[in-house]
Amino acid sequence: MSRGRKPAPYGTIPIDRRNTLPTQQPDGQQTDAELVRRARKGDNAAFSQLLDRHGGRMFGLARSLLGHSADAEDVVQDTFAAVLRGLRGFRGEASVKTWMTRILVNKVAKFRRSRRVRRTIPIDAERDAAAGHRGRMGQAGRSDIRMDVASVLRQLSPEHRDIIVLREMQRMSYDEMAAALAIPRGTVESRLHRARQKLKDLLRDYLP
Amino acid sequence: MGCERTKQIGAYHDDELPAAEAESLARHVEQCSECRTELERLRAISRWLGAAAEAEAPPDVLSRIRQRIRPRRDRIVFRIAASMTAAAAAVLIVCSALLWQRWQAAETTTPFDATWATLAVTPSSTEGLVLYFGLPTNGENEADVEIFEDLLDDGEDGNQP
Repeated sequence: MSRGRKPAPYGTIPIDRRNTLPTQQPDGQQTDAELVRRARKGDNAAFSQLLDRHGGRMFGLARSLLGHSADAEDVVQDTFAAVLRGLRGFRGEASVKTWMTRILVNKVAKFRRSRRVRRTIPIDAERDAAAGHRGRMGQAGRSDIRMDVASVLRQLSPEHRDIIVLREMQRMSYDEMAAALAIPRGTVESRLHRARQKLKDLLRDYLP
Repeated sequence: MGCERTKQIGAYHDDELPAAEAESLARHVEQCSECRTELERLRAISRWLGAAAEAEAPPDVLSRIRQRIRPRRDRIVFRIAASMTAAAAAVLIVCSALLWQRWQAAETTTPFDATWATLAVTPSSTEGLVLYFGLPTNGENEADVEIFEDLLDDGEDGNQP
């Protein structure tokens, strides 16, 4: 509402908000929002770019949450299928990354509810379980670290595992986690605090 | 009694404290061994978990996922094409059946196939009523009329109708 403002000589020009949002990242690549906008119009190449850009991260997240690669692949497939179906309904209130993470977290929860956890445990993890925790923090190669992390994460409750993975492995902020998990920010903080207490208890022999 | 401010160490470690609070806590950590130990533990856990974070999916995983997810537009086009093909096939079948029926009907024509669409009754000067039926044009109208004249026979010739 304008008060005492001189009217524009040639009328007002409506602002198209879509055109004011950045369409390119500093490195010249198109932003996620722009890719979603193009994908919504049926641009398959744009959807493919979203898959390339976020697929690896989503797979890693799913694998950390579920502890099994095959399950993670199924969940990521379901997630991107849901992303494809939900393109029209995406309102841009959260970032595309947070939106997709929220879908994936829901798919993981659904997967846990509806299926039995696979009893086959990767061979490395079996060896690790037999040997007990060997205090490899910061020492071993990448695959060994990953194996030990998986065995520790399995000992957390699903709620604690989710919050730890989102924070420590996905580097999400408290607000992003609140949006992804559909919980208040205060709940994020308290849940993260309790999860860390549990982790410290599990790893007490290896911490300062 | 533990330090009250250790509760804030998590948010401080995560860079989620407002700037003023963060500065205040940073000064406190320099003085408080308990808070300093808590911060070191959280940093160790973060390093350890962060090192295990999966940065990329195995190369074949994304290609498999891409193949299994068909973009919506392609699915819609496929469905429309399938529906139209099914409809065209149905029309073809129905038309073929109708043509077959007509061809069958043209092949077999008998007097008894006469249509009953028209029925004319007209007096005849010599033989009473003559019934005419609308018959297929098979050139045998006179014989058919004879048959139906018999039906009207009043016994004049001594024979029973």
